[in-house]
Amino acid sequence: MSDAIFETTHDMIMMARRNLDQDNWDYICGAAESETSLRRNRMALDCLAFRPRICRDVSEINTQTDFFGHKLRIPVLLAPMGGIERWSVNGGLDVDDAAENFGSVNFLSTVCQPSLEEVAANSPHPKSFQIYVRGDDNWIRELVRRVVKANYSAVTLTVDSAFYGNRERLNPAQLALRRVPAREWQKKITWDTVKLIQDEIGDRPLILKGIMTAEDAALAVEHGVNGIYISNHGGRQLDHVLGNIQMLPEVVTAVGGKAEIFIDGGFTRGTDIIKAIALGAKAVGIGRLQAYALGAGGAEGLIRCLELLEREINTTMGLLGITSLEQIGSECVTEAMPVTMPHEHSSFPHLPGGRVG
Amino acid sequence: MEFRTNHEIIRRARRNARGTVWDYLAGGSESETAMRRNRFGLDSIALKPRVLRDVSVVDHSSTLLGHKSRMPVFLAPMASLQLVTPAAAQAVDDAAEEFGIINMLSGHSRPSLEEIAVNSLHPKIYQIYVRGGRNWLEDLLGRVKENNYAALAVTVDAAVYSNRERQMIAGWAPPTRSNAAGREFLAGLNWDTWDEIRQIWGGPMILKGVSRPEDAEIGLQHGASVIYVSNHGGRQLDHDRSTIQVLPDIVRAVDGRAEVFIDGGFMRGTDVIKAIALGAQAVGIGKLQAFALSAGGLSALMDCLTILEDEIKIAMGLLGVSSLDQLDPSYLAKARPVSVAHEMSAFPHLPGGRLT
Repeated sequence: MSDAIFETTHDMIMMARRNLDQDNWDYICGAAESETSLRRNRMALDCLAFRPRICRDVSEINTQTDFFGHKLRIPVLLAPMGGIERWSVNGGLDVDDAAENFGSVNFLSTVCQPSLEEVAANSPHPKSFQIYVRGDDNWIRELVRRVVKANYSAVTLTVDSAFYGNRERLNPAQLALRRVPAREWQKKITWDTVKLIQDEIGDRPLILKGIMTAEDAALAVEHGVNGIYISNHGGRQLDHVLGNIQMLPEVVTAVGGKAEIFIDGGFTRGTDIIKAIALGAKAVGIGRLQAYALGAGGAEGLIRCLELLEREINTTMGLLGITSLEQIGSECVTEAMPVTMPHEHSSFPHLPGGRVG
Repeated sequence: MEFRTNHEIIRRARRNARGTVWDYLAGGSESETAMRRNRFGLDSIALKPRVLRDVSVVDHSSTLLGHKSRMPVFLAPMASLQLVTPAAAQAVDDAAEEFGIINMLSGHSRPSLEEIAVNSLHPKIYQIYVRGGRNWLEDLLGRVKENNYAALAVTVDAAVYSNRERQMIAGWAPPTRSNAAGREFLAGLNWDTWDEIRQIWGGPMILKGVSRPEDAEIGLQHGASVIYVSNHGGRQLDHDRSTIQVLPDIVRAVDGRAEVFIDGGFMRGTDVIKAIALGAQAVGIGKLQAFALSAGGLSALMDCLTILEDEIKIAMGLLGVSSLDQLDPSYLAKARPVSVAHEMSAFPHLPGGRLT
């Protein structure tokens, strides 16, 4: 255990709020337009309930799984996030340190500092590089060659960001900061872009991040994509999409075991993660939670956050009567009505005022 | 009577309880979703009354495992009751005796099972958390038998101690948590353990913490006399379903071969009636019991039970039934809840709607 700088995720969120300025807080917590997609992510998770079994000897619980053959201590991935250096002093290195120390896999975003080479050199554990397209095909090839040379274990292409979602919490200065002309290239991404990247990365698995329909999941499999990452970008891109976990069953069916399935969006609790595993996800990405943890205490904070998640996963598995992730199937969950108004902090009912703005 | 409504009891309880004790009594685990679902489940059922049926005499008495009970309610086991008042478990036993209902003594509460038994004649049940092997069980169960407990309730939904975040935020844990010796036996519990207990105990056994018909069936095959539907008041597995929601499936699986008990969020006479109509034999009260004890020990608990009894009587009379065996699912309808569910949502007149 790391030094217990906080005992609960509640405490962690409050600590992060105290440490971060309003600009960073708005960036981390906020989402697109009416923030309906963000709320739907939580709503969809809250619409599932567990069906626990009893008397099953849960003295030994194994929370491990793997990411393309690399061991994961818990089925949790550190989702890519841009601009981490704005609120965690060493940026992507803090995330990388936490992943190395805890035993997770981190995704380095194209728009996160420091460079992909520096993050790669920081630690030996497997990690994935996440691509935002900011130039023509040659620009992409050049970037992917650097990624391959730096020996990233997997490559992730984000496909839900042809336009930048209207993040209405951000003030004009913050918005200006994010108005990058090169983002225009994102609009031109097609299945040819996928092919182009595949040609450069050889055996390395390619993950498409931001798939929200069975149709696109099936197309991705046809194109030989190895990882389907269900995501609505934490509700930060297209507003009014469905909650991510609602997409899992149809995507699982469409993929038919031919690719690994990852998911993110609103996952903040061990119970949330177990629900995704029960419905067929291999592992779950955490974004906002990761950002709060970094805000609360940098790499140390993130390690602690993962420990708390691990504790919750252990508790949930034990009380469900399961001792390894393979035992969890869809019979462990069932539909339910939500009992709280969903929002980005609604799984933390003891925050002052219920929600920290 | 000092209290006329449970609103007053809860307000007094809050005034009397230290913050940490209140957190322990009122809280659930993690996001408290399971706790809220218990209320949500009850609030998702409406009553369908019949008219012109002569309800001048309403009999709400029942039996639990053959023992007469003044109403279909029992006092659920609660650990660490001594936090509320030093002799709380004694007050619970006295209230059960005086009122004429059954209580379950928690293996974690004080005073000891012998002290509780010494002056009490009514049937009562001992609830066990398995925290040791064969010798430990033989010793404990020998003491329970010697003191004439009528049945044994084995809690099976506590393999792991949950994260009760109100307490964690306050940096406090109840004594049952801090002296958690033998936790590994709770984690290791399986049907062999149950059979071993059954063999040592020899009397009626209650399987407490069931939510799936498959497990109810196994329980019956292993000689359970009662299937006790419970999610521990939403204090163990978070995001579990409400207990009232799973009750019909359990009743169907049990099919009259055992009695079905239930607890989880029951605060009102109407709540109790809903469970009975769905086939439960009796309903346990936990939080409500704790609030009453905190409000004023034995006398407040007596008031609380009297209020609950009155509510049951009113509900039966207005439904047009004069005895519990007349109740069946035809008196119930699915409905949408009309308030936000939480541990106090059955009491809309609390200041601020909810006391934390």
